[in-house]
Amino acid sequence: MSTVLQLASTGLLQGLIYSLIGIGLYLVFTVMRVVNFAHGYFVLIGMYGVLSLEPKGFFPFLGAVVVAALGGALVGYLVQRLLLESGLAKGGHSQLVITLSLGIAIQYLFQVLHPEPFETIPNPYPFEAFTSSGVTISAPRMAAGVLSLVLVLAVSFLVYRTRIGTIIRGCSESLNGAIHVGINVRRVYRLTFALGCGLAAVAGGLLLPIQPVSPALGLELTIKAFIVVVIGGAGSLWGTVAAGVLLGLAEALGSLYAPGTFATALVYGLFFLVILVRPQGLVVRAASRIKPAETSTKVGVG
Amino acid sequence: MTLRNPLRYLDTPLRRVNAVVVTVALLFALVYPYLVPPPMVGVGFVALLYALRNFTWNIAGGYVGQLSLSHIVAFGTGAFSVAVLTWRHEVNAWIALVVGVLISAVVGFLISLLMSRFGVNAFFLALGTLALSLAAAGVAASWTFLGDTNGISYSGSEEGFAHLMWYIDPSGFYYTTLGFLVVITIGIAALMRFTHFGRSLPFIREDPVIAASMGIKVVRNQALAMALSMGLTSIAGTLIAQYVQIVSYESVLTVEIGVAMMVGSIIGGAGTLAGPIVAGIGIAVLEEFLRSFAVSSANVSSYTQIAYAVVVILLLRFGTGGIMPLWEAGVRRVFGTGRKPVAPAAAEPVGELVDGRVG
Repeated sequence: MSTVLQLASTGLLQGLIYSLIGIGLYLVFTVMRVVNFAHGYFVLIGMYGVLSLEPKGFFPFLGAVVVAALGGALVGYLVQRLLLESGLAKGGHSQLVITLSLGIAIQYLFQVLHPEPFETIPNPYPFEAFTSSGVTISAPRMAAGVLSLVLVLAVSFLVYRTRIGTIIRGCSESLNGAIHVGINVRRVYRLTFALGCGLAAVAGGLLLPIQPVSPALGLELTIKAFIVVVIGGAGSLWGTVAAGVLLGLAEALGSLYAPGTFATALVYGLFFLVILVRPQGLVVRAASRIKPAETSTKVGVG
Repeated sequence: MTLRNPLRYLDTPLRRVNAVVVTVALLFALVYPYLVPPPMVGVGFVALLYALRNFTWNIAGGYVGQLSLSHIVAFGTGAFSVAVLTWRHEVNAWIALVVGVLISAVVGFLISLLMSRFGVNAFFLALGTLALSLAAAGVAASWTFLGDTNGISYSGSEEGFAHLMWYIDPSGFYYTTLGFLVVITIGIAALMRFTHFGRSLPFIREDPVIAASMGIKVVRNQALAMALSMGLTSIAGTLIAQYVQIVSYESVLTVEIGVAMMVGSIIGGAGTLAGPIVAGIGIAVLEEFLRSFAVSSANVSSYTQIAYAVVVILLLRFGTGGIMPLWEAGVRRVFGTGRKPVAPAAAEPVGELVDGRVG
């Protein structure tokens, strides 16, 4: 019983990190209708960023995470501005291949810079582990889960309670409407992309003390973020958060019955099951059920 | 269809130039093994294999626009079918090849039907098929039937075309691959030109909604194209397995293979007949060229991957369609179009954003 409890709590905390990675992808996907294939690689930028700053102690670590997040956001901004923006009018294929190629380039760049796999940093937190009723949780895992939750709440506040969030949601719900009320769509897109990439980099920084980093990790995280977004559904940010926690739990409890690589395959199998049964995602906002089908009208901007 | 003078196809300078280039390239490909030492014949085999694999990816990825990464599974299926059936159970390699083709085709048909539940959405297709490939790699890595982490090694003694195996001289592999490439290229060219199914494929890519309204069965034709494409990709997997004589999940089920197919087709020109072949051979030559520098082999593959990525990003960013469209434009500029000048079409409005789903 305590094994299950142990795995469930580990899975829950891991799931919160997946939620944080997932909402970055969710924002970019719902606002721009672009799946950023390089999303997991922005997590890598966060991980390697913190790793190369070599923080000693708690506050340097937090500082390194912030620096890595700003770095990730800056790279994201530049990618959107220089590579993706011009192709948005042409439909999906070019962004897809550009972000995929970008991910590959980032992966192999880190492969050249850090040929050693599974690098990590020592526990930066001032405490070691929490034990309660037979369940032990290491400090980095606990802190990463809690900080992820705080950030998820902050992002949801930003999206649902502030003016910027209203503008972002406006662009997501009706691009035509956003253009007609004079929103600078390009700027919103750049900011959203930067925000999504920044969140991915923060998650990477928090993940580093728990999970040693290798360049190949980026792809796996991209897929997981995508699974989280698809299962959560495009209706609400909370669907993505719930799906992240679900993925973490499924992975942790799956490892009880299956060896490592097979557990991963199991997660992908579950994912296919979900899209077979509910391709619209598990959580669908009530309003979107009665909304008329989307039209694909074209509008001129700029 | 009566057989008329075939030379009537060579009515424009572009077609005449292309006919000359194709003839010269084929003749060169035929005599190539006699001109170079055996190791370089191996390089030639790898080049043709890249060309074959890009070409078969292009059937679904280029003509229909299904940017699929499930072709990794097809490639792996081809390799594992020969490893399990021929190496373990001494079934003839050609039968194993056919089995691999059939399994891959069925998987391709099903995955295309499954992903069509998202509508025609390139992102979902690409990420869903990527998840499938990672799942397949996970299964292969943990299942002893597929050699888990150790892989399966070749064991056998027969040699020759009937067994699809040559030990010392790779020219057998070279000519077999060349044969497959030529037959498949001619077959697909005929399919695209003469059949209703073939002609419907670029139509589906350009506008699935109008295609459906014209009575084309979009989902069915997409699934059939995917089945054809993945089935033929499996042949490349079988050939490489026989050539390197070891198969493991790390060697045939990696994402890099899928990306190489996609990227190769796009660099050459997705949806063109010759582009994927030209790019495949070009990439193999480039890799060999990089290897001749004194860089460690691990870094060679890293640098080539970065180079592919940068080339593809630049190609897409600046809106060129790859090598073949550039070549065609170049030939037309040098030799003229051979047609009467027509009034230029109105320029498309620029700076558009498409509302609604990406598609």
